[in-house]
Amino acid sequence: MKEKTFHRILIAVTVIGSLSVIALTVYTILLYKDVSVIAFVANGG
Amino acid sequence: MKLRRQIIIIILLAAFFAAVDLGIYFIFTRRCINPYNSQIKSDSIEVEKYLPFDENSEIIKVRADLTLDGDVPVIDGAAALFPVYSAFVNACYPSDSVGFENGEFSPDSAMQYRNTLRAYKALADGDADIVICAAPSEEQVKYAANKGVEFELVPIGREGFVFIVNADNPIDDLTDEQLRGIYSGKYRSWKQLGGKNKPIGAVRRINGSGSQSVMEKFMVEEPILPDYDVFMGSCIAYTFRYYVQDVIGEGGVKMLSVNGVYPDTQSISDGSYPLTCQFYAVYRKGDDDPNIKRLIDWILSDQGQEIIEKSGYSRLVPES
Repeated sequence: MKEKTFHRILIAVTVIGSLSVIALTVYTILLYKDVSVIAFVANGG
Repeated sequence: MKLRRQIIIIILLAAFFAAVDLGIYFIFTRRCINPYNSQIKSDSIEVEKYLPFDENSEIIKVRADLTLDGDVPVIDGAAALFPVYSAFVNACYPSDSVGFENGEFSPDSAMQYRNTLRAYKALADGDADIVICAAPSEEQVKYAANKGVEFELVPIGREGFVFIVNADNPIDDLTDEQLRGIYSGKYRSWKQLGGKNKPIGAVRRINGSGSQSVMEKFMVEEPILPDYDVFMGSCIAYTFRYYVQDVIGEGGVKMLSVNGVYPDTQSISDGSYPLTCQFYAVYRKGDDDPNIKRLIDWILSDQGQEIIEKSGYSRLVPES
C-alpha cells in the first residue's frame, strides 16, 4: 500500500472514530439529563 | 511485510475507537436508558393524562359538596401530587377557571404545574395561592422570608419516603443509621452492610426538590455527600413511594425495608414504617382568602381524603 493511501485511511478511521465517540457522548449526556432516578438505579446493577 | 504492518496499524486504530465507544456505552450510556414507560420519571409526570375537566383523565373523580366561586385561589404543586390536586380542582373549581393549551397551563389559569422547586417560589412571589407539596426546604423558607412571606403548612396526607436499590442487590433491609452512613460517606461498599463487594453508588437529588428536602431532614446534622460512585457502583436512591409503586413487580428496582419495616400502604397508614412523612396544603400566612380555608377544610373532609387515598397515598384523617 502506498504511504499516501495508508495515511488517508488512518485519517479516515480517526475522523470516523472521533465522530462516533463524540456522538455517543452527546447522546449519553442527553439521556443522563432526562433519565429518572428509578431507571438509573434499575440499570445500575 | 510493510503492507501487513500497515493493515495491523489500521485495525488497531479502529479497535481503539471501538473499545472507547464500548467503554462509554457500558459504563455510562447503558445506565441512562429508561427501561420503563415514559410515565416513570422521578421529577415529571404526563400532565395530559391527569387534567381536570377531561372525561378521559385518569384522576379520581368524586362528587364534591364544595364548589368554589368568585376569585378562586391559584393552585400549584409537586409532580408526584399533580393527580391529587388536579382531582381537587376537578371536584371544586369552576371548569372555566383552568386553561391548558399546547402542553402548558395558560398564565391566567387557576391551576398551574411548576413542581416543588418553582411552586414554592411562585407561592412566595404571589403567583400561586396554595401549593400541594412536601415540606419546604430551608432555602425555600428563607427565600419567602426575604419577600416578607411566611408559609402556613396544613398536613393533608401521608406518604412513604423510600430508598430503592437494584433488584439484584441482596440487601433488603437497612437501619436508618446505615442509610445515613451511606449518604454521609461512612459506608462506601455494600460489603460493609452485608452485601456484595461492590462500591455503593449513592444518588442524591436536586436541591429544593421534595425528595431532597425530606432527605435533608432525615440526615439531621450530617451533610449529604455529592453523588459518588454512581456510574461504577451499585446504586441506591431515595424518592417517594408513589413514583415506585407502578414498577415494583416489573423487576429492575426494589424498595428497602427500614428498621425491618417494608413501606406498603398498611405500614405507612399506621405509621409503623419509620420514614412516613406528611404532605401539605401550603399557603401564605395571613392570606385571608375565604376560598383557601373552604378548600382546605374540604380536602380534610371524607371527600378530599378519599381522593388522596384512591390516588395512591395514605389519608391523614381516618375515615369517618
